[in-house]
Amino acid sequence: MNCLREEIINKAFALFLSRGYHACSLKDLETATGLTKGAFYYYFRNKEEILKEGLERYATVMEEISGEEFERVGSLKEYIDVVVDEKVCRIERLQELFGLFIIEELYFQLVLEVEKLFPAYRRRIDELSKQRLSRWEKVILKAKQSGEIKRSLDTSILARNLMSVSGSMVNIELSSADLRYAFSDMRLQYGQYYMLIKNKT
Amino acid sequence: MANKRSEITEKAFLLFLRKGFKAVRLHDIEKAAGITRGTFYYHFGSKEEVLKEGLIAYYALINAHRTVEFQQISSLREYIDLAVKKLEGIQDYRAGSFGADIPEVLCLSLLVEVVAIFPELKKVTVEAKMLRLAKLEQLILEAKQAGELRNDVDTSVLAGNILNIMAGVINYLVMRQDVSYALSSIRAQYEQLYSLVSV
Repeated sequence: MNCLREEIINKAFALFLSRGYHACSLKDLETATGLTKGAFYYYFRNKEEILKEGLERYATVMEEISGEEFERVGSLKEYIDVVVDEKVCRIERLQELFGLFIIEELYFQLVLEVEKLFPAYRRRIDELSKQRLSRWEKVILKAKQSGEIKRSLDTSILARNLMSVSGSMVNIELSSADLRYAFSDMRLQYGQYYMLIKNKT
Repeated sequence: MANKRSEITEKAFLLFLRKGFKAVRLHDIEKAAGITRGTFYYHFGSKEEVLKEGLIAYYALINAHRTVEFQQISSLREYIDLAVKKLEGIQDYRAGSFGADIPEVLCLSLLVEVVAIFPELKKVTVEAKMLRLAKLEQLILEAKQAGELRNDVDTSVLAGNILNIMAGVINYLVMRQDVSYALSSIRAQYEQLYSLVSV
């Protein structure tokens, strides 16, 4: 029984991600999950409950490397690899969990759409992007001090530049995603930035 | 009659930009275009149809406009200055009239709202993006040949970098955060990238 419940959450959550929460009618959910209205209400009180459980499940893969692991990152080059690997890992874990590819940006979009229903999620995402920015800044600062990259670079501007690279994922379609291409594009962009900013020694 | 149809489309599109798709009622469109409900339904089946037509008309304009723009500039420096100037225009943009001067980022934040209802509209924006990317690559290639840019920079990767930075504004708009802050951040990002890639 639990299995079916999980399957409903997965299918419904995928629909929310690709179409948006409000645009999905109960009828759409019934079609996607193959359930009748009666069966649906046997498992869930309403649409909101499914959304909530989907978001909770998603949140379990949101964690980034821990503070201690982060402290051990020795160079900007290493951190770039960590970030890309994290992104790949997250996508793979999401695939295990939901049985489909989910782009983080679509999740962000969904959270923004439903922020009135779940304000705590919105805050969680804001916190996460603040933490990401501050980690980039710390790594860049260290790399400047160690002579890995040019000292003349502005730390916070470069941090934003590097963060914008992973935003290239936003253009990938949920269903027709060619993720190998998306990641290779991301790696190439990081590679080029790195080539431009490193010290020539 | 064709003129009336495009007039309604344009007036409605400006309303959608200002208020968002869902918040605009049929009544608002009728008032803005000075028509009755009967006239509206003579031309269109629904609010959705008006929006779709408006977006398609807008992208046709902007694609043509960009093609001309690229013909007029010959360096990456000029491109970046132009891009920053256009982004700055967002702040005092009031959606007065329908034309290629409507900032695309505003349409994109409208699209974030409606793409769930019309997935096919994504195609229009993707095509516009591909056109811009191709033109930008051409410009970078020429700038490398002219000695403006370093030769070891990969053309299409740099074009992707530049468009990604610009996409940052959309995130700010969608998150409803401070746009003027976003713009100054983007200007700074462009300048830093330019200083790295120029000779």
